[in-house]
Amino acid sequence: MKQYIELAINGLSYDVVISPEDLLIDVMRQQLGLTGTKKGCGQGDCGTCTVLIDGKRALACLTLAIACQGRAIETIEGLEDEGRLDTIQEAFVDEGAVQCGFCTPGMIMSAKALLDENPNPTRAEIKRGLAGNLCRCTGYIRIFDAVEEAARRRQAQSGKGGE
Amino acid sequence: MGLPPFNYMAPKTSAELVDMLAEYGDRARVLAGGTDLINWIAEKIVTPEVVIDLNGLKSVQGITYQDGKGLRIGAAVKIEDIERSEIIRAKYFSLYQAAGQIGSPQVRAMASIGGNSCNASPCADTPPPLVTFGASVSLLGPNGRREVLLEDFIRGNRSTAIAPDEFLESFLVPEPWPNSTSRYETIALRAAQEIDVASVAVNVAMDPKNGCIAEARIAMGAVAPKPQRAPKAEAVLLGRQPNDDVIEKAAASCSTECQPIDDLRASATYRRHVVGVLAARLLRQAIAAVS
Repeated sequence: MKQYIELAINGLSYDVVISPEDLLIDVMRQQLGLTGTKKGCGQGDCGTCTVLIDGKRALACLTLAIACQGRAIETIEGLEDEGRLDTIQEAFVDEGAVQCGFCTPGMIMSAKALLDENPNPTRAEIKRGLAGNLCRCTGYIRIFDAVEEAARRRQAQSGKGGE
Repeated sequence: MGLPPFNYMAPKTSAELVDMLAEYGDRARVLAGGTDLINWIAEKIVTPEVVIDLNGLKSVQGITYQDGKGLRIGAAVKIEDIERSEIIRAKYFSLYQAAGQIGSPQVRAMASIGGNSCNASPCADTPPPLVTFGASVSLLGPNGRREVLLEDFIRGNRSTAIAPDEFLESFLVPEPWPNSTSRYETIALRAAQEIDVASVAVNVAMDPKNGCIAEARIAMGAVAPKPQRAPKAEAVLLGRQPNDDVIEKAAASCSTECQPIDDLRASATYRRHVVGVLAARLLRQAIAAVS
Protein backbone atom coordinates (compact mmCIF):
# COMPACT_ATOMS: atom_id res chain seq x y z
CA MET A 1 0.00 0.00 0.00
CA LYS A 2 1.93 3.02 -1.28
CA GLN A 3 2.46 6.01 0.96
CA TYR A 4 3.93 9.45 0.62
CA ILE A 5 6.66 10.23 3.14
CA GLU A 6 9.32 12.89 3.60
CA LEU A 7 12.92 11.92 4.11
CA ALA A 8 15.54 14.35 5.39
CA ILE A 9 18.85 13.46 3.74
CA ASN A 10 21.99 15.58 3.95
CA GLY A 11 19.95 18.54 5.08
CA LEU A 12 17.51 18.38 2.18
CA SER A 13 13.89 17.24 2.31
CA TYR A 14 12.83 14.64 -0.24
CA ASP A 15 9.23 13.69 -0.98
CA VAL A 16 8.97 10.03 -1.88
CA VAL A 17 6.24 7.53 -2.56
CA ILE A 18 7.14 4.23 -0.93
CA SER A 19 5.69 0.96 0.23
CA PRO A 20 6.20 0.01 3.89
CA GLU A 21 8.56 -2.82 2.94
CA ASP A 22 10.90 -0.56 0.92
CA LEU A 23 14.44 -0.46 2.28
CA LEU A 24 16.22 2.85 2.73
CA ILE A 25 19.09 1.68 0.50
CA ASP A 26 16.74 0.99 -2.40
CA VAL A 27 14.75 4.22 -2.03
CA MET A 28 17.93 6.30 -1.92
CA ARG A 29 19.60 4.58 -4.84
CA GLN A 30 16.62 3.97 -7.12
CA GLN A 31 14.28 6.86 -6.45
CA LEU A 32 16.56 9.63 -5.28
CA GLY A 33 19.68 9.09 -7.39
CA LEU A 34 21.78 8.91 -4.24
CA THR A 35 23.95 6.07 -5.48
CA GLY A 36 26.95 6.89 -3.31
CA THR A 37 25.70 4.44 -0.69
CA LYS A 38 26.38 0.95 -2.04
CA LYS A 39 24.49 -2.31 -1.76
CA GLY A 40 26.96 -5.13 -1.15
CA CYS A 41 25.69 -8.15 0.76
CA GLY A 42 22.21 -6.80 1.48
CA GLN A 43 22.41 -8.58 4.86
CA GLY A 44 24.17 -6.16 7.16
CA ASP A 45 27.54 -7.92 7.06
CA CYS A 46 29.72 -5.94 4.64
CA GLY A 47 29.08 -2.34 5.68
CA THR A 48 29.04 -0.75 2.21
CA CYS A 49 25.57 0.61 2.95
CA THR A 50 26.66 2.41 6.13
CA VAL A 51 24.97 5.77 6.63
CA LEU A 52 24.39 7.94 9.69
CA ILE A 53 20.88 8.43 11.04
CA ASP A 54 20.57 11.08 13.76
CA GLY A 55 24.34 10.81 14.03
CA LYS A 56 24.31 7.07 14.72
CA ARG A 57 25.60 4.39 12.43
CA ALA A 58 22.95 2.53 10.42
CA LEU A 59 22.95 -0.14 7.74
CA ALA A 60 20.66 1.17 5.03
CA CYS A 61 20.09 -2.36 3.70
CA LEU A 62 18.41 -3.32 6.98
CA THR A 63 16.54 -0.05 7.52
CA LEU A 64 12.95 0.52 6.41
CA ALA A 65 12.54 3.86 4.64
CA ILE A 66 9.20 4.35 6.35
CA ALA A 67 10.90 4.15 9.74
CA CYS A 68 13.16 7.09 8.84
CA GLN A 69 10.53 9.82 8.87
CA GLY A 70 11.50 12.69 11.13
CA ARG A 71 15.12 11.51 11.35
CA ALA A 72 18.22 13.13 9.87
CA ILE A 73 20.03 10.87 7.40
CA GLU A 74 23.61 11.58 6.31
CA THR A 75 25.16 9.84 3.34
CA ILE A 76 28.54 10.09 1.61
CA GLU A 77 27.05 12.69 -0.74
CA GLY A 78 26.57 14.95 2.24
CA LEU A 79 30.24 15.16 3.08
CA GLU A 80 31.27 17.19 0.07
CA ASP A 81 30.73 20.91 0.45
CA GLU A 82 30.34 22.85 -2.83
CA GLY A 83 32.99 20.83 -4.60
CA ARG A 84 35.36 20.61 -1.64
CA LEU A 85 35.97 17.16 -0.26
CA ASP A 86 35.60 16.58 3.44
CA THR A 87 38.80 16.03 5.45
CA ILE A 88 38.24 12.28 5.71
CA GLN A 89 37.60 11.97 1.97
CA GLU A 90 40.79 13.91 1.20
CA ALA A 91 42.81 11.75 3.56
CA PHE A 92 41.52 8.59 1.86
CA VAL A 93 42.57 9.97 -1.52
CA ASP A 94 45.96 11.21 -0.31
CA GLU A 95 46.81 7.96 1.50
CA GLY A 96 45.90 5.72 -1.45
CA ALA A 97 43.07 4.13 0.51
CA VAL A 98 40.76 3.93 -2.51
CA GLN A 99 41.19 1.15 -5.10
CA CYS A 100 37.92 0.02 -6.66
CA GLY A 101 36.09 2.44 -4.41
CA PHE A 102 33.15 0.19 -3.63
CA CYS A 103 33.80 -0.03 0.11
CA THR A 104 34.87 3.60 0.32
CA PRO A 105 31.59 5.39 1.04
CA GLY A 106 30.74 2.99 3.86
CA MET A 107 34.30 3.13 5.18
CA ILE A 108 34.24 6.91 5.23
CA MET A 109 30.87 7.09 6.96
CA SER A 110 32.10 4.64 9.59
CA ALA A 111 35.33 6.62 9.93
CA LYS A 112 33.30 9.79 10.35
CA ALA A 113 31.21 8.22 13.10
CA LEU A 114 34.40 7.01 14.78
CA LEU A 115 36.22 10.34 14.61
CA ASP A 116 33.15 12.30 15.70
CA GLU A 117 33.07 10.15 18.86
CA ASN A 118 36.80 9.64 19.35
CA PRO A 119 38.86 12.38 17.70
CA ASN A 120 42.20 10.73 18.47
CA PRO A 121 41.78 6.98 18.10
CA THR A 122 44.57 4.47 18.48
CA ARG A 123 45.27 2.09 15.60
CA ALA A 124 43.48 -0.64 17.54
CA GLU A 125 40.45 1.61 18.03
CA ILE A 126 40.43 2.39 14.31
CA LYS A 127 40.47 -1.31 13.46
CA ARG A 128 37.63 -1.95 15.86
CA GLY A 129 35.72 1.08 14.62
CA LEU A 130 35.93 -0.12 11.02
CA ALA A 131 35.33 -3.80 11.86
CA GLY A 132 31.92 -3.60 10.20
CA ASN A 133 33.32 -2.55 6.81
CA LEU A 134 34.87 -5.10 4.47
CA CYS A 135 37.37 -4.26 1.73
CA ARG A 136 38.44 -6.76 -0.92
CA CYS A 137 41.11 -4.62 -2.56
CA THR A 138 43.40 -2.74 -0.23
CA GLY A 139 44.21 -5.09 2.63
CA TYR A 140 43.01 -2.30 4.95
CA ILE A 141 46.46 -0.88 5.86
CA ARG A 142 46.09 2.31 3.85
CA ILE A 143 42.53 2.71 5.05
CA PHE A 144 43.73 2.68 8.66
CA ASP A 145 46.54 5.10 7.67
CA ALA A 146 43.94 7.38 6.08
CA VAL A 147 41.83 7.44 9.22
CA GLU A 148 44.91 8.29 11.30
CA GLU A 149 45.76 11.07 8.85
CA ALA A 150 42.20 12.34 8.88
CA ALA A 151 42.31 12.42 12.67
CA ARG A 152 45.53 14.44 12.56
CA ARG A 153 44.10 16.90 10.03
CA ARG A 154 40.86 17.32 11.94
CA GLN A 155 42.78 17.98 15.15
CA ALA A 156 44.94 20.53 13.35
CA GLN A 157 41.86 22.23 11.93
CA SER A 158 40.08 22.40 15.25
CA GLY A 159 43.20 23.99 16.63
CA LYS A 160 42.71 26.72 14.05
CA GLY A 161 39.07 27.28 14.95
CA GLY A 162 37.36 24.44 13.12
CA GLU A 163 36.57 23.68 9.48
CA MET B 1 15.12 -7.48 -4.96
CA GLY B 2 13.15 -5.86 -2.12
CA LEU B 3 11.27 -7.40 0.78
CA PRO B 4 7.90 -9.12 0.38
CA PRO B 5 5.08 -6.68 1.16
CA PHE B 6 3.77 -5.96 4.64
CA ASN B 7 1.98 -3.18 6.49
CA TYR B 8 3.86 -1.01 8.97
CA MET B 9 2.58 0.47 12.18
CA ALA B 10 4.31 2.66 14.72
CA PRO B 11 2.35 2.79 17.97
CA LYS B 12 3.01 5.71 20.27
CA THR B 13 1.98 4.03 23.52
CA SER B 14 2.22 0.56 25.07
CA ALA B 15 -1.58 0.38 25.09
CA GLU B 16 -1.67 0.92 21.32
CA LEU B 17 0.97 -1.78 20.84
CA VAL B 18 -0.94 -4.24 23.02
CA ASP B 19 -4.13 -3.56 21.02
CA MET B 20 -2.27 -4.15 17.75
CA LEU B 21 -0.83 -7.43 19.02
CA ALA B 22 -4.28 -8.49 20.24
CA GLU B 23 -5.64 -7.88 16.76
CA TYR B 24 -2.81 -9.37 14.69
CA GLY B 25 -1.23 -11.93 17.04
CA ASP B 26 1.28 -14.03 15.15
CA ARG B 27 0.46 -12.31 11.85
CA ALA B 28 2.55 -9.44 13.23
CA ARG B 29 6.24 -9.11 14.12
CA VAL B 30 7.60 -6.48 16.45
CA LEU B 31 10.46 -4.39 15.05
CA ALA B 32 13.15 -2.96 17.29
CA GLY B 33 16.58 -2.76 15.62
CA GLY B 34 15.76 -4.95 12.64
CA THR B 35 19.19 -6.55 12.36
CA ASP B 36 17.59 -9.99 12.68
CA LEU B 37 14.01 -9.30 11.61
CA ILE B 38 14.72 -7.60 8.28
CA ASN B 39 16.99 -10.47 7.26
CA TRP B 40 14.40 -13.03 8.32
CA ILE B 41 11.73 -11.28 6.26
CA ALA B 42 14.07 -11.11 3.25
CA GLU B 43 14.82 -14.83 3.55
CA LYS B 44 11.14 -15.64 4.16
CA ILE B 45 11.96 -17.23 7.51
CA VAL B 46 9.08 -15.13 8.80
CA THR B 47 6.24 -13.68 6.71
CA PRO B 48 4.47 -11.01 8.75
CA GLU B 49 1.42 -9.21 7.44
CA VAL B 50 2.25 -6.34 9.76
CA VAL B 51 5.51 -5.02 11.16
CA ILE B 52 4.98 -3.07 14.38
CA ASP B 53 7.78 -0.65 15.20
CA LEU B 54 8.02 -0.21 18.95
CA ASN B 55 10.84 2.32 19.03
CA GLY B 56 8.43 5.19 19.72
CA LEU B 57 7.39 3.77 23.08
CA LYS B 58 8.96 5.41 26.13
CA SER B 59 8.64 2.29 28.27
CA VAL B 60 11.09 0.29 26.15
CA GLN B 61 13.85 2.89 26.47
CA GLY B 62 16.26 3.78 29.22
CA ILE B 63 18.82 2.29 31.55
CA THR B 64 18.07 3.07 35.19
CA TYR B 65 19.71 1.75 38.33
CA GLN B 66 18.38 2.06 41.87
CA ASP B 67 20.20 0.95 45.00
CA GLY B 68 18.14 -1.75 46.63
CA LYS B 69 16.27 -2.51 43.42
CA GLY B 70 18.79 -3.10 40.69
CA LEU B 71 18.79 -2.31 37.01
CA ARG B 72 15.96 -1.73 34.56
CA ILE B 73 16.84 -1.84 30.87
CA GLY B 74 14.23 -0.98 28.25
CA ALA B 75 13.93 -3.74 25.66
CA ALA B 76 14.63 -1.40 22.75
CA VAL B 77 17.89 -0.11 24.21
CA LYS B 78 20.63 -0.44 21.60
CA ILE B 79 23.57 -2.75 22.19
CA GLU B 80 25.96 0.19 21.79
CA ASP B 81 24.17 2.01 24.62
CA ILE B 82 24.57 -1.08 26.81
CA GLU B 83 28.27 -1.04 25.94
CA ARG B 84 28.58 2.68 26.73
CA SER B 85 26.57 2.65 29.96
CA GLU B 86 28.75 3.60 32.93
CA ILE B 87 26.47 1.90 35.44
CA ILE B 88 26.49 -1.36 33.49
CA ARG B 89 30.26 -1.29 33.15
CA ALA B 90 30.60 -0.59 36.87
CA LYS B 91 28.11 -3.10 38.23
CA TYR B 92 27.43 -5.67 35.48
CA PHE B 93 30.82 -5.88 33.79
CA SER B 94 30.17 -9.13 31.94
CA LEU B 95 27.14 -7.54 30.25
CA TYR B 96 29.35 -4.67 29.06
CA GLN B 97 31.83 -7.23 27.72
CA ALA B 98 29.07 -9.21 25.99
CA ALA B 99 27.61 -6.13 24.32
CA GLY B 100 31.01 -5.30 22.88
CA GLN B 101 31.22 -8.74 21.25
CA ILE B 102 28.12 -8.35 19.12
CA GLY B 103 28.44 -7.89 15.37
CA SER B 104 30.06 -4.66 14.35
CA PRO B 105 29.76 -1.00 15.31
CA GLN B 106 26.90 -0.60 12.83
CA VAL B 107 25.05 -3.65 14.16
CA ARG B 108 25.58 -2.52 17.75
CA ALA B 109 24.12 0.88 16.87
CA MET B 110 20.94 -0.71 15.51
CA ALA B 111 20.39 -3.96 17.40
CA SER B 112 18.39 -4.07 20.63
CA ILE B 113 19.00 -5.99 23.85
CA GLY B 114 15.38 -7.17 23.69
CA GLY B 115 15.82 -8.64 20.24
CA ASN B 116 18.95 -10.47 21.37
CA SER B 117 16.88 -12.42 23.93
CA CYS B 118 13.59 -12.67 22.01
CA ASN B 119 15.29 -14.05 18.90
CA ALA B 120 16.99 -16.58 21.19
CA SER B 121 19.89 -17.67 19.07
CA PRO B 122 21.78 -20.25 21.13
CA CYS B 123 24.87 -18.16 20.39
CA ALA B 124 23.43 -14.81 21.53
CA ASP B 125 25.89 -12.85 23.66
CA THR B 126 23.79 -10.90 26.16
CA PRO B 127 21.70 -13.79 27.59
CA PRO B 128 24.48 -15.73 29.39
CA PRO B 129 25.63 -12.75 31.50
CA LEU B 130 22.03 -11.74 32.17
CA VAL B 131 21.24 -15.29 33.30
CA THR B 132 24.16 -15.20 35.76
CA PHE B 133 22.68 -12.04 37.28
CA GLY B 134 19.29 -13.68 37.72
CA ALA B 135 17.71 -11.23 35.28
CA SER B 136 14.01 -11.31 34.46
CA VAL B 137 12.03 -10.07 31.51
CA SER B 138 8.93 -7.98 31.97
CA LEU B 139 6.31 -8.84 29.37
CA LEU B 140 3.28 -6.65 28.68
CA GLY B 141 0.08 -8.04 27.22
CA PRO B 142 -3.68 -7.53 27.39
CA ASN B 143 -3.80 -8.91 30.94
CA GLY B 144 -1.05 -6.62 32.18
CA ARG B 145 2.58 -7.31 33.00
CA ARG B 146 4.21 -10.57 33.94
CA GLU B 147 7.81 -11.24 34.89
CA VAL B 148 9.65 -14.34 33.84
CA LEU B 149 13.18 -15.30 34.79
CA LEU B 150 15.25 -14.92 31.61
CA GLU B 151 16.67 -18.39 32.19
CA ASP B 152 13.10 -19.74 31.85
CA PHE B 153 11.96 -17.22 29.21
CA ILE B 154 14.45 -18.53 26.67
CA ARG B 155 13.31 -22.10 26.09
CA GLY B 156 15.55 -23.29 23.29
CA ASN B 157 16.86 -22.59 19.82
CA ARG B 158 14.95 -19.49 18.71
CA SER B 159 12.14 -20.31 21.13
CA THR B 160 10.87 -18.22 24.01
CA ALA B 161 7.89 -18.18 26.35
CA ILE B 162 6.47 -15.03 24.77
CA ALA B 163 2.77 -15.16 23.82
CA PRO B 164 1.57 -13.78 20.45
CA ASP B 165 -0.29 -10.96 22.21
CA GLU B 166 2.65 -9.86 24.38
CA PHE B 167 5.83 -7.90 23.90
CA LEU B 168 9.05 -7.75 25.91
CA GLU B 169 9.07 -4.35 27.57
CA SER B 170 12.12 -4.41 29.84
CA PHE B 171 14.80 -6.41 31.60
CA LEU B 172 14.99 -6.32 35.38
CA VAL B 173 18.38 -7.22 36.80
CA PRO B 174 18.82 -7.60 40.56
CA GLU B 175 21.49 -5.65 42.40
CA PRO B 176 24.85 -7.38 42.24
CA TRP B 177 25.95 -9.24 45.35
CA PRO B 178 28.37 -7.37 47.61
CA ASN B 179 32.04 -8.16 46.90
CA SER B 180 31.22 -9.61 43.52
CA THR B 181 32.22 -9.18 39.95
CA SER B 182 31.47 -10.78 36.60
CA ARG B 183 33.30 -11.71 33.42
CA TYR B 184 32.36 -12.86 29.92
CA GLU B 185 34.52 -14.22 27.15
CA THR B 186 33.90 -15.75 23.76
CA ILE B 187 35.77 -17.98 21.37
CA ALA B 188 35.18 -17.19 17.71
CA LEU B 189 36.90 -17.57 14.37
CA ARG B 190 36.92 -13.83 13.58
CA ALA B 191 37.38 -10.75 15.69
CA ALA B 192 34.08 -9.20 14.59
CA GLN B 193 30.91 -9.96 12.62
CA GLU B 194 31.08 -13.48 13.94
CA ILE B 195 28.95 -16.08 15.63
CA ASP B 196 30.53 -17.51 18.77
CA VAL B 197 31.96 -21.01 18.84
CA ALA B 198 31.46 -20.95 22.61
CA SER B 199 31.11 -18.43 25.41
CA VAL B 200 31.15 -18.40 29.18
CA ALA B 201 29.77 -15.90 31.69
CA VAL B 202 30.70 -16.03 35.36
CA ASN B 203 29.35 -14.07 38.31
CA VAL B 204 31.28 -14.58 41.55
CA ALA B 205 31.04 -13.15 45.05
CA MET B 206 33.75 -13.60 47.67
CA ASP B 207 33.26 -13.63 51.43
CA PRO B 208 35.75 -11.04 52.73
CA LYS B 209 35.84 -12.65 56.20
CA ASN B 210 37.17 -16.04 55.17
CA GLY B 211 38.24 -15.64 51.53
CA CYS B 212 35.78 -18.30 50.40
CA ILE B 213 33.49 -18.15 47.38
CA ALA B 214 30.17 -16.87 48.68
CA GLU B 215 28.18 -17.07 45.45
CA ALA B 216 28.88 -18.34 41.96
CA ARG B 217 26.86 -18.48 38.78
CA ILE B 218 28.10 -19.79 35.47
CA ALA B 219 26.24 -19.67 32.16
CA MET B 220 27.58 -20.92 28.85
CA GLY B 221 26.57 -19.82 25.37
CA ALA B 222 26.62 -21.58 22.01
CA VAL B 223 26.99 -25.03 23.62
CA ALA B 224 23.33 -25.82 24.18
CA PRO B 225 19.99 -24.79 22.65
CA LYS B 226 19.73 -22.02 25.28
CA PRO B 227 22.11 -20.36 27.78
CA GLN B 228 23.40 -23.26 29.83
CA ARG B 229 23.84 -22.96 33.57
CA ALA B 230 26.43 -25.20 35.23
CA PRO B 231 24.91 -26.06 38.62
CA LYS B 232 27.40 -28.84 39.40
CA ALA B 233 30.31 -26.50 38.70
CA GLU B 234 28.67 -23.86 40.86
CA ALA B 235 28.26 -26.39 43.70
CA VAL B 236 31.96 -27.23 43.48
CA LEU B 237 32.81 -23.58 44.07
CA LEU B 238 30.34 -22.55 46.77
CA GLY B 239 31.84 -22.04 50.21
CA ARG B 240 35.28 -23.19 49.06
CA GLN B 241 38.66 -21.51 49.04
CA PRO B 242 39.37 -20.74 45.37
CA ASN B 243 42.54 -22.81 44.97
CA ASP B 244 43.69 -24.36 41.69
CA ASP B 245 42.12 -27.69 42.57
CA VAL B 246 38.66 -26.18 43.11
CA ILE B 247 38.82 -24.03 39.98
CA GLU B 248 40.02 -26.86 37.75
CA LYS B 249 37.33 -29.16 39.13
CA ALA B 250 34.63 -26.55 38.45
CA ALA B 251 36.00 -25.93 34.95
CA ALA B 252 36.03 -29.65 34.19
CA SER B 253 32.45 -29.86 35.37
CA CYS B 254 31.44 -27.09 32.92
CA SER B 255 32.75 -29.28 30.11
CA THR B 256 30.38 -32.06 31.14
CA GLU B 257 27.36 -29.83 31.72
CA CYS B 258 26.87 -28.61 28.16
CA GLN B 259 25.46 -30.16 24.99
CA PRO B 260 27.55 -28.78 22.12
CA ILE B 261 27.12 -29.79 18.51
CA ASP B 262 29.45 -30.23 15.56
CA ASP B 263 28.89 -27.53 13.00
CA LEU B 264 30.79 -25.56 10.38
CA ARG B 265 32.50 -23.39 12.99
CA ALA B 266 33.76 -26.01 15.43
CA SER B 267 33.42 -29.55 16.69
CA ALA B 268 31.48 -30.55 19.79
CA THR B 269 34.72 -31.94 21.24
CA TYR B 270 36.48 -28.61 20.87
CA ARG B 271 33.55 -26.67 22.30
CA ARG B 272 33.37 -28.97 25.30
CA HIS B 273 37.08 -28.50 25.89
CA VAL B 274 37.13 -24.75 25.42
CA VAL B 275 34.28 -23.91 27.81
CA GLY B 276 36.42 -25.52 30.53
CA VAL B 277 39.37 -23.34 29.53
CA LEU B 278 37.21 -20.20 29.54
CA ALA B 279 35.55 -21.07 32.84
CA ALA B 280 38.90 -21.53 34.60
CA ARG B 281 40.27 -18.32 33.12
CA LEU B 282 37.23 -16.21 33.96
CA LEU B 283 36.84 -17.62 37.46
CA ARG B 284 40.48 -16.73 38.18
CA GLN B 285 40.02 -13.24 36.74
CA ALA B 286 36.84 -12.59 38.70
CA ILE B 287 38.16 -13.96 41.96
CA ALA B 288 41.37 -11.97 41.67
CA ALA B 289 39.39 -8.81 40.95
CA VAL B 290 37.29 -9.14 44.09
CA SER B 291 39.86 -10.56 46.50
